[in-house]
Amino acid sequence: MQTKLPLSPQVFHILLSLAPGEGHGYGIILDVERATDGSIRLGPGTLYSALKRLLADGLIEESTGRRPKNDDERRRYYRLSTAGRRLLGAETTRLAKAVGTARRAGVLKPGMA
Amino acid sequence: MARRLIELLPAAFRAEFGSEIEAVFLDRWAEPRGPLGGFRHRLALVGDLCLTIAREHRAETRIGARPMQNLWLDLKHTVRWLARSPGFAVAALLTLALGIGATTAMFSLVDGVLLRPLPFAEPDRLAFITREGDVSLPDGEDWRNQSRTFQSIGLFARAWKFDLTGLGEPEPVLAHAVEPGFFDVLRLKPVRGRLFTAAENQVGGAHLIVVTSGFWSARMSRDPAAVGRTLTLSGNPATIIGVLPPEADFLGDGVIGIVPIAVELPWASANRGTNNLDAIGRLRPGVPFPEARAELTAISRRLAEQYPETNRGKIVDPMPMTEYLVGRVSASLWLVLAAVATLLAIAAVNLAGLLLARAAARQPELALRTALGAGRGRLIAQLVTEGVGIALAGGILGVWAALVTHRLLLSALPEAVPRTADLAIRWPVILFGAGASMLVGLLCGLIPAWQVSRTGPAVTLGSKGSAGASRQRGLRTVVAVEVALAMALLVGAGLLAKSFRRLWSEPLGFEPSGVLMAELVLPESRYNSRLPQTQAFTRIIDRLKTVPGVREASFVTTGPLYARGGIGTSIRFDGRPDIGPDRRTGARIRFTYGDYFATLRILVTKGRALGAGDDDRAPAVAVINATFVKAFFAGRDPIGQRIALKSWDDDTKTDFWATIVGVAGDIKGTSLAEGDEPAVYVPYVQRKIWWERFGILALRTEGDPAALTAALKDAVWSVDPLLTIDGIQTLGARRSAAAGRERFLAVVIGLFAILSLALVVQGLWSIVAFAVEARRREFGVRMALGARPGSVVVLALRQAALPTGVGAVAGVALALAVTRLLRGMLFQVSPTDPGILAAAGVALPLIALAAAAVPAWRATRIDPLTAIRAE
Repeated sequence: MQTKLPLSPQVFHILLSLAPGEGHGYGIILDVERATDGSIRLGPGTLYSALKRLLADGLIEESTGRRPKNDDERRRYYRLSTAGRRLLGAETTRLAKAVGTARRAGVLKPGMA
Repeated sequence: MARRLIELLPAAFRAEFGSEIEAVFLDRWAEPRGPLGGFRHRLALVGDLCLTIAREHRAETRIGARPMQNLWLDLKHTVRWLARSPGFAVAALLTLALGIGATTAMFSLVDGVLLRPLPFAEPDRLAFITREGDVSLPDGEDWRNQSRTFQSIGLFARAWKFDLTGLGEPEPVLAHAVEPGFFDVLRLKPVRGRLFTAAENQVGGAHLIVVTSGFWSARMSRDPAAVGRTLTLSGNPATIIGVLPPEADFLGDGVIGIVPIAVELPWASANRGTNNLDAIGRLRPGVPFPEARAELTAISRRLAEQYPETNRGKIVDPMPMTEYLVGRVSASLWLVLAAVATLLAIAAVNLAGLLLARAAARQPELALRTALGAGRGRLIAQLVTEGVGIALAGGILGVWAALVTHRLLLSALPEAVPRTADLAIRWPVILFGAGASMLVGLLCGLIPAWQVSRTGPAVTLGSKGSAGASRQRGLRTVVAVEVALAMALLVGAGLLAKSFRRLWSEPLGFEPSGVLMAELVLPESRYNSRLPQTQAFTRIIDRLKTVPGVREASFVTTGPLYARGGIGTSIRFDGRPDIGPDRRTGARIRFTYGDYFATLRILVTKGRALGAGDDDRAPAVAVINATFVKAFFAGRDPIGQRIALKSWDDDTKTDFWATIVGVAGDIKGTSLAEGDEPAVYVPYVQRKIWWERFGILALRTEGDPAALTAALKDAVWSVDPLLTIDGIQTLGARRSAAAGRERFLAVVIGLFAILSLALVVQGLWSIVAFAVEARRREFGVRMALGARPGSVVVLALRQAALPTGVGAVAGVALALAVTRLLRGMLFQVSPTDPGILAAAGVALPLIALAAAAVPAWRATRIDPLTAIRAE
């Protein structure tokens, strides 16, 4: 599992957007766009390419649970698998360590980020 | 479109995610965004799908194959395939290189001039504050004191004329006369020496100049000791105290520096009515522009109430600095970019059509590959690689051409484009070129690929070279799209051409041919009272009259087609109540000497012209123009009436009264599009003001007026060898320049339209030729069975006729939609001009069908025996 690190920013943000619970494709695109202030804009093709790989790697799974009423029939929902959640945790820890190192090196002023 | 692209995805991926991708795609597509943002957003969506197609196909072929090797093989194959038909290869490459190169070069202008931020700190906060007529110093100071939305406001007299002597020939130069607030607004830091302070900007202070870095480089060889030296500016020694940074060269060409306004133009601060200045301002952080505009409007309203004498009707209109600097050229630049991009699109569609047609010849090859086990994806990958390969090669050529030639474009543009001194090809331009090439390549590759994807191997192998129905459909689409795009260009070109013709045939009110003009400014240091001014100008004109080849010589303070329009004032009428300082009684004052009306052949419709008898001892007289009569003497005879120019008598400190002796026809005073303003012509020698030291010399000549340039200079310098002569130009050239933008757009867009027609002709020709070739056997059989040649031609033409018709109708609709954007650029022509629409709507299909008729006619020449035997 550790060999997959570091995650590409796109994959990291897709996983992150699924961390609170399940989500669908369009929702993920909007989440990621919001979380990165628009610096990562996933096209639908790119998103589903990535979802395909994440599904194949067992990091996310399709959720068959309840869906809102009046929802689009074609919409499919995804959620993190246990492995996916672990990987996301590992990547976040790695990032946090990197930030800590940077702060000790004086790259960040206290109070920033 | 989304569905068609999704069809190109590998089957497994499509089955799993296709419908979802489509749904998300449509959701994203429908998100509301601005016009430009929306376009970019949608382009990104389509690009994303195209990339995904490529990526997923590669991911699929990766199983068991090496994708890079495949790519390499495909590329090699492309090169070999092109090498086999070098004529086609060269034509395709050059068409693309031309299209991509021209589009990229044009984009480099748009990028450098319009999109690049201004080189000042926080340029978004900079504003140019304008109003009808310029600004006076007291007004500007009131704005500064009362405004809370502006952090600083700086006033300056822009590009003021000075004479530079002592560095070679006497030479007219420009400098901005500014108050120190100007530096605060722009946050200028000198690269050498220092700027001047408020204490140095005092009436009677020492003459100083901060030179521009352009002047420092060009005229002083970047001499480090330049600071401290003196220049002679209009007779005064001015010390160079500093050098400006290069980005300060922005407000006009040929500006050599910045001088303190109170020292150089002491009269500027005198009163509220002296409006000669411009203003710039820096907004406080976070203040939105509309708020600042509203506040300044309110302040100027208050000032208008407080000082009705000078300020009535003078309402401020601040605009963002970028808009002010480039607003005038931005429409032209965008228009040309749009036109050139349309041309590129036509070229790309054309190439796609050719590739599609050629795919027929390759059907055996593709069928064989399929039979040998090449997957559908593998074939699509190959065709896309071919398209992208050609497009990228063309793109590299094109971007290279753009790098070499984009400066040439500048010299082709009719008006001075701001911000081009440091124009460079920046990364966005390269990316744009690469992006355009990729898009063209994907288009060229995907259209044939889409065909392949619809054709099963059995069909392909079985049909043996006859044109499949779906390919025919593809070709028809290509024809329709090409015709539609060309139609839009053609209509646009037609409108611009008609607009230019209208503008050019506007009656001028004067005869432009055979007239030479030149501008003179008498330096204030030596000509600070009326007598020497009058003597200089009258001597020069009298001298010019004796020059061989000169028929008439005269002088006027503001000639025709001078954008600045000349100085205006309020008029009073004898025997009428003074209705106060209302702009409705304003008129332009044009002082003349010599027979100005005869020189320019301006019609005197009533009374008499001004003549030699109207000298300083004779009673003051005036000639008014037709607009003046219409505005103030409706239905009455103006001859013999008395009018006064308010406060234009320095001797008595009151109004200058004159008797109207004649009425002259209107002329085009400021531009070809606008009519004349009310104007009063007064003999220069009778004027009672001291400050009019500027004038235009006008010569009517026998033969070529430009040939008298040297004689004109000699005559001026024989009177005063230190005078500087500027803007020597024939009146014909001035008129041409006045229509420069319209002429340029008409020619350039017209050229694009002709090129697009050529592409359509070429495309239709080859597509019909291909169709005839593909149905060779069928036509042969028909002929053998006794079909008349006419019916065979009709049969072959049908290939082209329907899509041409559809394209023409769609094109007219497209033209109606887009030419509305031309509205601001057209002169007395409606964007939906029925004549132009009808002409283009008839001409284009006729030309297209004529192009198709030649190969169609060839169908009748097919020898039935050979055709059948070829099987």
